[in-house]
Amino acid sequence: MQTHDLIEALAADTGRVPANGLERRLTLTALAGVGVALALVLVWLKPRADLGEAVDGGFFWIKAFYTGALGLAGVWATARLARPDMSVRATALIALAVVGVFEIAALVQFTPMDAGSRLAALRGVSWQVCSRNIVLLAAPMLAMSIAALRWMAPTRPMAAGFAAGVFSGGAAATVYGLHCPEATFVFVGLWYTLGVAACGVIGAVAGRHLLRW
Amino acid sequence: MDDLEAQLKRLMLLGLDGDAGAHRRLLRLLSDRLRAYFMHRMSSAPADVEDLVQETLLAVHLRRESYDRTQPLTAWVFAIARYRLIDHWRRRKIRVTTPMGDVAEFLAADTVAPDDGLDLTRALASLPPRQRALVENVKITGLSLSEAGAKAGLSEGAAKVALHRALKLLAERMRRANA
Repeated sequence: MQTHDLIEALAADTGRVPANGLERRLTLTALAGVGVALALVLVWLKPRADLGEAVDGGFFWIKAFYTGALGLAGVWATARLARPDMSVRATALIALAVVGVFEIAALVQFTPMDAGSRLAALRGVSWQVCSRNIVLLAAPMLAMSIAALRWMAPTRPMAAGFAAGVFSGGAAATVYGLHCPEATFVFVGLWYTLGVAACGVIGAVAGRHLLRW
Repeated sequence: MDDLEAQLKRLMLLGLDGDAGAHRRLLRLLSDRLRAYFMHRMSSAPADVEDLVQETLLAVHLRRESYDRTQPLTAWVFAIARYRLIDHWRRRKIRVTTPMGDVAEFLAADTVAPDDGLDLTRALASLPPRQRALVENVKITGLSLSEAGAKAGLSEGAAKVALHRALKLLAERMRRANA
């Protein structure tokens, strides 16, 4: 088949492409993904019983800012990696700095503790389910993000998938804060961070298989 | 060179707004540039050049939404061409020794005459009959999309959707052809 003929077929398929299509797709993904995660927390996990008092406390918001910042870094990187040849070094550095500051706070909290309190702080009341729940809450949004990226041209499919995972994981972890009563830097720095990182790894594997073109 | 960028970008923006004539002119101009670029990089396998040109045109067309209208058009096309080239080498297990070149070279290369694309011919033959008929009628016999659709028993809207799907499938089949 000749290139000339192919061009005729492509021209017949011209159609209109909306401006800011990428931004629209990512906004829709965020709204729908957070909506699904919220519904899962309300119906399945249930909001924490002391939610009314918790929102008056500082740590509830520190936790939300931490995971929210990771989600924002994730969506920013996703938007850049959706287009060919865009650098995400600045975004990656910001995300690493956010994690770094939080982990330093966790170490400051952890170091003066005695052995018994250390174990208690690491385990909290929900260490066995925390990371897993974040991954489960993020899964629908991650699937939507990968679907949105399939319209784009990511020249680094694994990196784009990882960014989509951090986007979804950060958003889901923020919603999960409505259910989870844990309130230490040590616990959140370990299990929340692991949950978001796991979303990133799952996204990278999905990207490797689904975002190549 | 700046003239070419300005001309290509103008055609791209018109095409994004639905101007099929501008889109056709853009793809024709790009196909010349792409052929010259790949020819320089593929002297060991000139038979693959046209396959790469066609794969890149399909990608440029199907992934138009990823173009940021505030950025230079040629840089975006060049990034797509380079990705297709690297993927091609990876699939054929060719160790890369040729430098990738840059946008300036991409714009400056001489044009060369096209060849037949064998991968695309094969990919087209593998499509479901209705989709294949639609693509063939639109391209070879020069029918309009609504006429080609009517021949296949499709409304104009359905023909639009079917053609787009067929093109996506073509791109996917070409990519898998040598995997």
